[in-house]
Amino acid sequence: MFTLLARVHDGVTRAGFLLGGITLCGIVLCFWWEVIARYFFNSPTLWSSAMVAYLLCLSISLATPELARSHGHIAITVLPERLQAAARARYERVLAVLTGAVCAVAGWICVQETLRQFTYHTTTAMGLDIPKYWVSAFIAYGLISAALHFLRQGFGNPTSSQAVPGSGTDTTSTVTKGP
Amino acid sequence: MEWYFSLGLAIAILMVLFALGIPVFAAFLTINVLGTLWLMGTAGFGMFANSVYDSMTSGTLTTITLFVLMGELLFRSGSIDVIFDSLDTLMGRMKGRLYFFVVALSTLFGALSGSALAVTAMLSRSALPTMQQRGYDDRLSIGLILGGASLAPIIPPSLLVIIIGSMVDVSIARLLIAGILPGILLAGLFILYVKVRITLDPSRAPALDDSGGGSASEKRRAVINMLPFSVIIFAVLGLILLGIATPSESAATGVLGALLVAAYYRKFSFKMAGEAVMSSLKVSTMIIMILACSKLFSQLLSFTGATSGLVSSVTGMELDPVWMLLILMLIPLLACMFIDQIAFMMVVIPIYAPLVKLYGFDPVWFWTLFLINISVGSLTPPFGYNLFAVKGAAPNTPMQTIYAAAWPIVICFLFSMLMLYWAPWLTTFLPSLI
Repeated sequence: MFTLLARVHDGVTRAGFLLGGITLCGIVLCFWWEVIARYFFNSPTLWSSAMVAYLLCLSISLATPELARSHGHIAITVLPERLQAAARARYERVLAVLTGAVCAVAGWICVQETLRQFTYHTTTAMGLDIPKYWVSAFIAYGLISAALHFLRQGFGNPTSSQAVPGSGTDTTSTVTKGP
Repeated sequence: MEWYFSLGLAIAILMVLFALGIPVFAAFLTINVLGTLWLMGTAGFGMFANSVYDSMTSGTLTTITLFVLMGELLFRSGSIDVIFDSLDTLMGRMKGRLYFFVVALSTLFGALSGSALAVTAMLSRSALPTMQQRGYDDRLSIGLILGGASLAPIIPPSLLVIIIGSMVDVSIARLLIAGILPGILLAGLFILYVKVRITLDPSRAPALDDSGGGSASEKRRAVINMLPFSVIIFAVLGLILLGIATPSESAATGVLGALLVAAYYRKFSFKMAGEAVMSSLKVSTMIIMILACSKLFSQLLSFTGATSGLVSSVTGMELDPVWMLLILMLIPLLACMFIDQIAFMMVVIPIYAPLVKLYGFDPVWFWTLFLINISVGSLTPPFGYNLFAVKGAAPNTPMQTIYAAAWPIVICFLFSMLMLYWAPWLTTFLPSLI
């Protein structure tokens, strides 16, 4: 049962990550459209900056669980690296549980805020007004799903920490990890 | 609670969390959740959620994603190899030829990619083995690779500049442009350093490196081959300098330029483009998650009175601006030997910002100096990121050699900062034009 749920979770994470990639392409297209509309047709759009902002939020939120799954978030790993293999594995599990707990609390706070926005029909105020929960729900998803991945790593599902082939977890992406 | 106690406690908790190895974004989440609960109780949760929302919907941060994507497209498509080959042809026969080649290459790569780590790894894999094979001095070669790669965050496009600009009240376009002259100055210092080293000790370079260089027609062809890259440099730097596009728009046109360049060299494929998109999504998510989760930290500092307390106590000290600048620069220099650059920036920028205003430092000048200082951190032993990138790409090189290689370059950086202090126009002249 747990294996099936874990597979579903991984599948959703993978699908979300791909969707995040598509939204990133959407950001690029919005900017191109804006530049063409403004400089070639002298008619800047009213929606592109808001659309870019929403798409950025979607792409980051959708990619967050995949980073948690593939150990892609930046951490200062000097201390764990000094431990013996067995002790390090145990230590990393504890860290994963702690990180998962923090993400779960943050995710829960975001869920509460999203529900409040839904109840009060709060809209965004960025030129392209939409219900705010349409966007903030993705943040809640990102944090909760990341929390689940960390907790799975902490409580011992090894499949949760394996990289998906082709997801960019190769040497090239590793070296571009920081500025 | 006194402001200095809250400030000290917040920084201490963050440092402990970083040291434990908790992901940086989660460390900020922890301190912000605890801080919100302590200061406002559950009533502050809305503020917490909205601070994450505000950061994630900040149009400015798309610049990070787009600059990363531009670099990924150029590196993954292999278009960047054209620069490597062309520069190799253009460099004439001279003593220590590959040293100068590496400096020129890394400066150009810096103008095409905002990632020091990517440039370090690429040069360590491509240029370093050739240099070792031809009898170039290991320390000098590694030092120049480290130094050259560290120009990437200084010469625009720069991810670190976008991060700084999104946190302080300074024009990102001006901050980006401000890095051009200091970047060139540093490249010049590296060349001077090599010249001095191989003049004092000729054994540090092979007698005469015969390979490379080319005839006049080959050199002409090499220049023509490199011309398409000027489209990208114009799309990024030119459009900002001319005041035509915002940094985000210029980054988007830079992505278009990178695609066109890849297509021109027949290196474009949808598979490559897809991989570049997914990889850049990962890198930018990693950075933006930290920014989003840390935003509340500065607000909480203000809430506890730490920001105003710090400002008023510093005012009371009546410290000379020179000493204050020295302190403000010494802290990142020392701290970045041990702490991740981005994490460190998230902690100190909210604390530094009011002090910069208080002392009347030119913000473009100050934050450029800060940026250079932070960049030094990436190559300063023992924990600079780039040192490990060299080790990863050249595993047979002892860590001691890499450490020893880094120090002279760190000194070059410090010397350049002194020059920028004495001649601030080097930083402020170009930004004043836009």
